Amino acid sequence: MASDDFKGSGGTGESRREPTWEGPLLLMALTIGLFLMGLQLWLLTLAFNLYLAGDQGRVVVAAVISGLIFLGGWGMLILLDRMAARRGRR
Amino acid sequence: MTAERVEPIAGQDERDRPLSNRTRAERWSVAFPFGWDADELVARRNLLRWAVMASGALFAATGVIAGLSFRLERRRGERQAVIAAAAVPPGSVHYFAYPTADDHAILLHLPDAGFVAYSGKCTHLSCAVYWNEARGQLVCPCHEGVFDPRTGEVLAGPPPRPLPQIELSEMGGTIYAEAEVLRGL
Repeated sequence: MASDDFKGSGGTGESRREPTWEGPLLLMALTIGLFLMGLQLWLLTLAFNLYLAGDQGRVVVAAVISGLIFLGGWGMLILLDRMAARRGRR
Repeated sequence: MTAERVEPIAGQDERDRPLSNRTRAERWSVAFPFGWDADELVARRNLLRWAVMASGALFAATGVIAGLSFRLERRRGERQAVIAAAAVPPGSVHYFAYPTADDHAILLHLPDAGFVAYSGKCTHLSCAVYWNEARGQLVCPCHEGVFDPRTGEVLAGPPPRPLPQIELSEMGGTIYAEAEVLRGL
C-alpha cells in the first residue's frame, strides 16, 4: 500500500482547504477560553466564600465578571460560526 | 503495495463511478467524507462549544450565589441574656448557645479588652472552637485553626474568614448578646 494512499481521503489535492487564520484563531480562543474558565471556577469559590462572609456587594461583582467572561466566550463562538458559514458559502 | 487506479471514462460523472472502480483511498473518502483539516476544526469547535456551555454553568452557579446573598442577613439573633458579669472573672471563658440553641458561642473576659464574644463555629468546616488558656488563643482542634481572641481574626490554619462576632451589652450586671454579625474577608 502506498504510504500516501490515505492522505488523499478528503484531505489532499483539490479537497484540501486553503490555509486560513480561522484555525489558529480557534486554537487561541480555546486556550484563552480554558484559562478564563479556570478564572470563573476561582470566582465561584470566591463568591461562595464572600457569601458565607455576608459580603453581598463583592459577590455581585464576582457574578458580573463571571457573566462577562461567559458572554465573551459566547460572542467568540458566534463569530467563529459566522466566519465558517461565510467561508462555506464561498 | 500500490493502490490500483482506474482512469475515469471520458464524459462519465465522477459520482456515478462504481465503488469497485475506485482506489482504496477514494472508497474511504466516500465512506467518511471528512478531510483531516475539517476533522480537526470540528473537534476544536465542539470543544469550544462545550467550554462555552461549561462557562455558562459556572456563571449560573455564581449568579445563584449572588441571588442568595440578597436574602442573607449579616446580623442575626435577638437580645438574649448570657450570664452575670461577675460569674466570668478576667481571663476566664463561658460557653453558651447563640443565636439559636444549636449554635455554639464563646464569651471571653480578656484582662485588657473586657468582654468579647464570638460564634464558636470554625469558619473552615464548622468544628467547635475552644479557648486554649495556655496559648491564650481560640483554637479549632480539627485542623489547628487559630483565632485571635481580641478580634476573632484568623492567626493560623485553614479557616478562610474571621469568627462571626457577637455584639454584647451589659445591663444590671448581666451580659446580653445583641446580635451575631458575619464578617468579611
